[in-house]
Amino acid sequence: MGQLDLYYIDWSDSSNPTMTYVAILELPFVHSIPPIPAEHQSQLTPAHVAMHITCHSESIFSSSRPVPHARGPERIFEPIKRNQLLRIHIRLPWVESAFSPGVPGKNRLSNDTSIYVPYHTVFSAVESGTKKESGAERVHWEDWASSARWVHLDAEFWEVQPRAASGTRCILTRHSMEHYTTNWQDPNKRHTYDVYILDFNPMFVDELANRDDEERKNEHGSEKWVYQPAEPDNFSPVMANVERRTWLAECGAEKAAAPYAWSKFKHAYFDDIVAQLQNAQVMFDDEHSKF
Amino acid sequence: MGKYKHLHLHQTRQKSHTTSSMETFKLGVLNGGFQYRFHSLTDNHAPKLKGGTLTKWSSINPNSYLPLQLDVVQLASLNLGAESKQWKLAYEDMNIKDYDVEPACDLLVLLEYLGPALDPFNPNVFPPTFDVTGLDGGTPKAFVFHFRTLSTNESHPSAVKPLLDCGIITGNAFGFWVTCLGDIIVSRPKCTPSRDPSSDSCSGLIMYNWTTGALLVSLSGWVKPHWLELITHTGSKRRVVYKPSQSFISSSTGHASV
Repeated sequence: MGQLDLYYIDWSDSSNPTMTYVAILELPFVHSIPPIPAEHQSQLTPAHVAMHITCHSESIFSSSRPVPHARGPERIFEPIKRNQLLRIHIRLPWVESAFSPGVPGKNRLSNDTSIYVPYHTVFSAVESGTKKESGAERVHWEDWASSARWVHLDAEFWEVQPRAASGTRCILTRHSMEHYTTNWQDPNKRHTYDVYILDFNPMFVDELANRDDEERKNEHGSEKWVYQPAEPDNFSPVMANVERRTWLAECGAEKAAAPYAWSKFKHAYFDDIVAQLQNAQVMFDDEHSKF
Repeated sequence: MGKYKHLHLHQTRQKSHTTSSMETFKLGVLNGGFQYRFHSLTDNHAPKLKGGTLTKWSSINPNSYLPLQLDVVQLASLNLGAESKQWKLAYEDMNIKDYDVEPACDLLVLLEYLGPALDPFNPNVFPPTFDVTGLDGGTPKAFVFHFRTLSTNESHPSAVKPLLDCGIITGNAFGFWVTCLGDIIVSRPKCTPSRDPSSDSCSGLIMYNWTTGALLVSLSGWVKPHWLELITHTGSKRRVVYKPSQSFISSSTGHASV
């Protein structure tokens, strides 16, 4: 699919900053992608792309370290940088989702898929690369996949623009099928808008995993954090691993499967407001969620 | 409350499903602004949430894109020990194409296009055509960076230069992204002198330390933009790496440093 090129920038000499190509994180190979529908093919030129890959990162800068140009009150805490996430978003822009007639919801295949990469994987690759005398350190997918989390969504999850993770968390929003297939401006139609939070913090995930069985049985359906193992179940809002029936089958995406923690956001005021909205957008950072 | 108690409360809130507080803010059109149909910041431009600060652009007048105003909300924060606060910044006749903030530095970076704001949809043309350059037949002008304080809209006191002018001319009027990363800004200009938007003759990466003036430019493409030479004259501290595209240069790729 591509690769993440990593550069090390040395600003220590402000009159001569340097940028060095030090490492490559390879993405897996995909053997084929769904065919482009015939009605779209005539519109395409060689300039159009079959696959669109973007990288999103929340820039974290804190005034908790003494720097002369930091202003405002000093922050008390800051997230652990090595656990924060980079999101690689992969999309097939010209391919319609395959749709099974009469079977809405999760059986619609999505062409949006994301890999969440913890910064410590990036730092490790850069550190190895800077020690090489020449050339960039090439890290194969099989060697770094297990530290990442591949989140493949069904077609009901919809984002206007791919959203970066914040800290160790990402937010996923799902709209009901009714929202798409009926007149969404009809004020009598109630919109369903679910917000899920996924947390990949390894310490938090371990804490959930170590809960006793009785506690974990009571997790589903309640407003709690749920431990999601790599084995898929019927409760997870997203696929715990990438299913073989998708275009990602056999590409090695299964190496970046769960575990992670997830929770569904619930708030009475939010539910009432969303029911009246034509559209909504969710943003969040380490302390806040915005709707 | 001591710092440890703050941290403990933050961790408790992270795991809890109880909303500690909820506030509603009116921004943009809901706060007296206007959304003018345009290829612009105010055209369906979503608010930005970064570092606990929310920002949203709108037009000041109902019948013109410029001038612009920026609604700013500092959200209540346990980390800062601060209550929420909202204010507005106005920009008279500044054709802003992109921006970013760094709340921890009280920094607002603006990318301004020095040419006029022209409506690319031009209702006077029938059938309507979309001007892929946004110039309406005019001569492309340069883009510049402004370094202001987010709180007061003044020139940032820690910026070596309140205005960075590298003479960047991309061949269109739409602008490019700028991102703040602490004391560094990163920008990705693409030079498209031809009228084919899919054809980039040169794309680049500009990284600038606004507190020291150090400038790092990395470009690749088959045409070296003219403003590459300007940088060497305007920037006292700069490093430029230019990599010719292999497909257009018969020899192996190399780099030239200035």
